Formats: sequence, C-alpha cells, structure tokens
Amino acid sequence: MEHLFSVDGPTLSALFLMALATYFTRISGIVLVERLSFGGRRKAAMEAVAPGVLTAMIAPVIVEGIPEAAAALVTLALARVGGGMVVSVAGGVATAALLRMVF
Amino acid sequence: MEEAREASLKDGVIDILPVLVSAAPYALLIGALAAQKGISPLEMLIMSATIFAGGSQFVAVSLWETPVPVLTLAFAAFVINTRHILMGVAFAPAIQHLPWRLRALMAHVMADEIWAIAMARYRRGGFSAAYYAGLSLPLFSAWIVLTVTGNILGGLVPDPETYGIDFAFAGIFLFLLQAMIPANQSNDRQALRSVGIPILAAGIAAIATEPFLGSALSILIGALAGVIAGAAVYREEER
Repeated sequence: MEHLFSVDGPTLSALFLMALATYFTRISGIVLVERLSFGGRRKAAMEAVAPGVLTAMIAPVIVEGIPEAAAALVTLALARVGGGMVVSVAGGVATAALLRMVF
Repeated sequence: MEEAREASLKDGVIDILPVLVSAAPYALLIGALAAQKGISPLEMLIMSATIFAGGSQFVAVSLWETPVPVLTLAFAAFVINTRHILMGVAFAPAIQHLPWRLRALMAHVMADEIWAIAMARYRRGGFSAAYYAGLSLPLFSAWIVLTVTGNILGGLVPDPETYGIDFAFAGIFLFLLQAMIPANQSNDRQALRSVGIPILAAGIAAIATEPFLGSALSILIGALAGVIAGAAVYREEER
C-alpha cells in the first residue's frame, strides 16, 4: 500500500521538468502566431503543416514491410469508397495482424 | 466551408473513440514498463496528467534508471515534442477567438491524435471549443486511468503489436490525411498541388531520416520539408 503513493524527490523534479518542456512546445506555436501576420506564401506554408506532420508520422511506418504497406493500402481504399474512420482503420489493423502471421 | 454546423461535445467524443481504443493497450504497456523501472502508481498519475504525450512518456520510461537522469529526461522530452511547436502554429487560427485562459488549457492536452482530428475538423469547418473538449476530456482521463492501471497490473499487460494495434495510429493519421486531399478534379488542381507536393516532400524526408535520427526527429524534419514545399509551390497569381 505504501508503494502506491511513494514519490521521491529526483523523480518529481524529472517529471516537473519534462512537463515544463512538453508544455513549452505545445504553447509556443500558439503564442508565436499571435505575433506574426499570415498571408500569401506564409499562409501556404502554414497550411502545409497538417499534411506535412501527418505524412511524416506515417510514411516510415508504411515502408516498414509488406504487412504495413498492405494495411495502408486497405485503409486508404476503404476510406476512398466512403468507409468511415472506424471501418477504414479496423480494415488496416486486421490486414496488418493477418499478414504478420505470414511475413 | 462544406459543413456550417458547429461540432458539439458529443461529436468530439464520437470522433475520439477509435483513438481511445487504440491507445488503451499502449497506456497499459507504458504503465507496466514504468512499474518495472520503479515508478510508483502515484508518480505514474503525475506523469500522465502533466505530460500527456504517449511518445515522450514511452521514451522517458525506457531512459529511466536509478539515479534518475533528470536533465537527460527533460532534454529528451523537449526534443521529442519539438514538432508540437509547428503543430501549435497550424492550430492557432482555429482557437484565436478564444480567451487565453482557455487556449492555455487546450494547449496542455494537444496530443498528436487530438491535434490531428481537431485540425481535420477545422479545415472542414465546424470546429468549436466544445468539440475540442469532447476530443480531449475522454482521452485525457482514460490515459491517466489506464497508465496507472497498467502500472499496478505490471506484467499482465499484452504486447499491442501482436494484434496489429500499433498500425491503428498510422491508420488513423492516414485516414485524416486522405480527407485533406481534394478529389482529383481539374478545377482543384491548384489545391491538389498545394497539398500533394508537401506530402511528397514530407514523406521522402521522413523516410530518409528515420533510420538515422529516430521517429521524433524525422517527424520534425519531414514536417519542415512539407512546410518549405508548401511555401515553394505557392503562386501569387493563382490565389
């Protein structure tokens, strides 16, 4: 029972600094925009952030192997024929799980 | 804007459900790994509530040792989360009209998945603070409860990769990404180019750097490549 609530100094300071670092990264972009004006080319750059981040997160996963590439194709195909997010992603997950038994 | 109706809290809860299901095994796993490193349930609770970032908590737990490498952990958290700066820049216009107190709170729960779904809704139209609350409250509370549960259960937690659940995150992001690509019509060619070229640039940069730099930095570099490409393909006369 005692272990459940144990907290030690170094752990707490590590957690505090990690939380601070994380929060800094999350708030600073939002604060930064307040001080800049966006139009034309800058706006185009900013609009590329969302597709850019998403692509950078998934591209290395997709090229990992055949199960992952096939799972991505299945997800994409289901999404394009109007399957919702749950159906599309579930199709991809099932494909990855099944093909991993083979490859 | 295709969808004029403002999304409600309930819409947010519905949209976050697939993320909740996929994140659950990871939350349990992080808790279990943390327990092996001597992190107590209360410390787990503090970590999940104050950091609330799957990727950096995972790395933190794997770097954890005794004595605790305080500065290494803080530096790692910063490096892994640098992409949030860019994400915040993109998200800012969606919440610009809200009071700062609320924006500061929203920033705290801006995890990748919440940001991605919120951005997709914002680009489609209908984003609201209530919708964001619907996305973040369930995931935030479930994340805390499940990491602490995993911490208490320890070794009983199964490996998510066995069931292909690790692909769920890539799948969710892929789904949101394809929704941002306009249908291939001739009048949308400019829009297609302004999204398609950044996607190509980001993908190539991320794939090329990931084996050497790891996923956190390759996400940042890929995203930056996408942003530069987005600025480069911009043409004054077409807008």
